[in-house]
Amino acid sequence: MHALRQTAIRLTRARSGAIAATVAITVPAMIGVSALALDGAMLYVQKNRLQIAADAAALAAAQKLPDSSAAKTVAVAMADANIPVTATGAHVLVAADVVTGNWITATRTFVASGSPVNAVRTTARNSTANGNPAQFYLGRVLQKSTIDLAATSTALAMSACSVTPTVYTQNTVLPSATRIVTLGNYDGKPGEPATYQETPDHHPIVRIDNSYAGPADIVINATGLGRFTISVPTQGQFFVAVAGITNNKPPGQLTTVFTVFSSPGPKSGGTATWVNNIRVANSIVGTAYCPASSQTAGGAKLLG
Amino acid sequence: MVLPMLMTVLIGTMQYGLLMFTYASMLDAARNATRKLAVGAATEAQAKTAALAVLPSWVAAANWTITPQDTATTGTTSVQTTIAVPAKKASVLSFVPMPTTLTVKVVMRKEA
Repeated sequence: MHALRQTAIRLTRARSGAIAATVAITVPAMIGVSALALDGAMLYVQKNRLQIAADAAALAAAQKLPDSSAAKTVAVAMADANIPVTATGAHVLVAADVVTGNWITATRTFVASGSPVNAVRTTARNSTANGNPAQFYLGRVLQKSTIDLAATSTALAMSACSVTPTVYTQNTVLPSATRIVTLGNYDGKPGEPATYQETPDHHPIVRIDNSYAGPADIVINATGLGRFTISVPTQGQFFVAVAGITNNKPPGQLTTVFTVFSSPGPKSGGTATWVNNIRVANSIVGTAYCPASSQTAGGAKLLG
Repeated sequence: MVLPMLMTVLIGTMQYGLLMFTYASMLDAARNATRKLAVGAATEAQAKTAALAVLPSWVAAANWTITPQDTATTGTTSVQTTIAVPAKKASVLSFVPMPTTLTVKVVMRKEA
């Protein structure tokens, strides 16, 4: 009885072995926490690699636009060059992950399959569906071995023009008569006098309507200043800076009347006066037109 | 018995964390260097200098292998940057299993 009591007292006071027991219990938790830290870092790095591949693919593809087919081919090749198939077991980016479309600068939105094609969106992925999910290493302790990752990138094709554009497409109207129109009330506010526009380097901005179904050289006459030839790419309405005229007089002192002198299409007899209240427009409304002979291979701009 | 195991887990975590950071820095440096080459903003030598500047400073400059390649070197329309470092040089200790070499390669199409 005495021996039993001694043993009980000894056991209640015993502390040796406590560390080993605690460690045994906490080791799975520790490895789990380490797993989160390391696999989290691995995933972060892998996501970064995917982003680099997606960016490179998008930038390369944008340079091939508007040829969507060539864009897809180069995008897949570029993604493979950055993350080889041997690294993950499958293509991180396939042709279906490349979407060409239209980037609307005004609203900063990408419209998939929109027109005109000027941008491309790529998605590089590690996914179970593609057969190359990102692998967990220590995460297997937590019964999780793979995860899907994806990175998306959008790039805009930059059109480069070797000349400064002077002709801007305004809309899709097809005029029936060639005429010249000054932009009197175009952006005038109600109650204010009409303003006429000029570029920052003081060339008058006018609208030319071309009635000829094709490229046209339209000769305009500016009273007292001479005749100027405006080349427009096709039938339609265009904003044009008349580069031949420079307004170096104080506002209100340069007055001229534009008429169409000759044009391939039927012309109207109208005249257009450009006088007074001249205002500098920092940009010409519409889309810049670059003649095919002046177009150069452009770069690409990453949109995110 | 317990202490070595705890230390292994702890130091191993730190070790891989450092490796991870180095690798992420390498990716970033290679990506930026390649982008400079792609847009023609830097020569190969300038791209190399720029890459070295953003790599972890605790690794001696001599241990890095930085190879920016412009189109003249690659012979294609692509430019690329390869950065490599022996894993032992990229971390503080080296008694846990590690890859021999950390290598990143970023390829982009040269912009006209």
